[in-house]
Amino acid sequence: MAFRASNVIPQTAYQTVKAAAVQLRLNVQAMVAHLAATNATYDYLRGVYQTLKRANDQFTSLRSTPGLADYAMAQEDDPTYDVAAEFVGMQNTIASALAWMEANVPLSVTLRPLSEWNDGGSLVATSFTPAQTAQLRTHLNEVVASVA
Amino acid sequence: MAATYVQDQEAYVSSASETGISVTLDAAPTANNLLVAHVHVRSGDGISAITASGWSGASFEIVSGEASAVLYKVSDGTETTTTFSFTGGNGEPAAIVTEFSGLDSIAPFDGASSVASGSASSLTPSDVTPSSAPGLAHGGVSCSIGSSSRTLDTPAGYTFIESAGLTSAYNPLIRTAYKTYADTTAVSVTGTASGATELAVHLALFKEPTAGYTHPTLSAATLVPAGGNTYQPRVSYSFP
Repeated sequence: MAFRASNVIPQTAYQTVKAAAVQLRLNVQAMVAHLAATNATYDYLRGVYQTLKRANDQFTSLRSTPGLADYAMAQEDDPTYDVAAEFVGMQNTIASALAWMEANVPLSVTLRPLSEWNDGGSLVATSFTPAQTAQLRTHLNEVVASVA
Repeated sequence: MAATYVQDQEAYVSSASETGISVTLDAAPTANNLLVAHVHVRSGDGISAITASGWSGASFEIVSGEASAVLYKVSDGTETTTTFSFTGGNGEPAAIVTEFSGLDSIAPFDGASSVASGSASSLTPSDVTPSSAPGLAHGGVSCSIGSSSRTLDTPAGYTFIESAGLTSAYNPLIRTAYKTYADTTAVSVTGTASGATELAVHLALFKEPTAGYTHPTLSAATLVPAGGNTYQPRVSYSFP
């Protein structure tokens, strides 16, 4: 039997999960502020989606690391802290935000004549008002709240 | 949370006919962190681009057959190993990949500047003015050493990250560094070598998350096909 050097150990996995959660919260907080303050372009919403999905995919890939839950519980040293439940809760908030976007942000593409473009010859930006993204902000705030 | 250095790794291949170079980080990067790469190819005659799948170019220089580039990518957590490919030529490469946290996950890039010379001991690319602050400046200096050995200095005001390549004659050499900034004052960098050499200096700025996001405007002219098609795609916009 060879020495197992290539598998992810709980310490590395937990450090990565924590770092990814902090990075996610940092960015989502800015996204909420942006969506509340101004119209958001379609490309911006796509960036929001990609940010959530990148984090969620990494959480999913690491959550099956053997010994992760036990290691995390030992590190937090808090008998009242259910790390596994909080982890699932965090991923659920992300999944809710992703689901809302999949259901409410249109993905279809239409054809528009060049004459409908603005005078500057630039592409007419698709934008979503703060009112239109209010529910999304609610979901994103839940993501922020799930990370302490 | 200010932008923070997380990890880096360097690579160098002692062969003058490489068509790419791979860099393997010690640990998988964290999702939504920023990865920045500086690649330099000695005797890279004919190289027109340095690319990696999913990475964006910040700056590219080629002078006297020496190619160098800075690229970046928002990590999805899978880029433990990245291979950078050379288009149109080959050479002797060195590369450094650095991971940073605390930067914008949607549109982190905030401008770049670069300069190269076939023979110089000091170069300063144009200043870059941040569109927002705070942010992080990545300064990279690289050279193709001639018949006399050379060393590179860490740019003044920057924190050393990593060195790649060799300081002896006829080798590529890279030295990367970074600094954070708190306001939108123009950012500069000066790269210096211990003597005249084929030198390149790159400066790239990256934003921290901000509510003041402005997506770049697409130019209609670049989207109109040569055939004169008068209809262009536009994403529909309506919420239920």
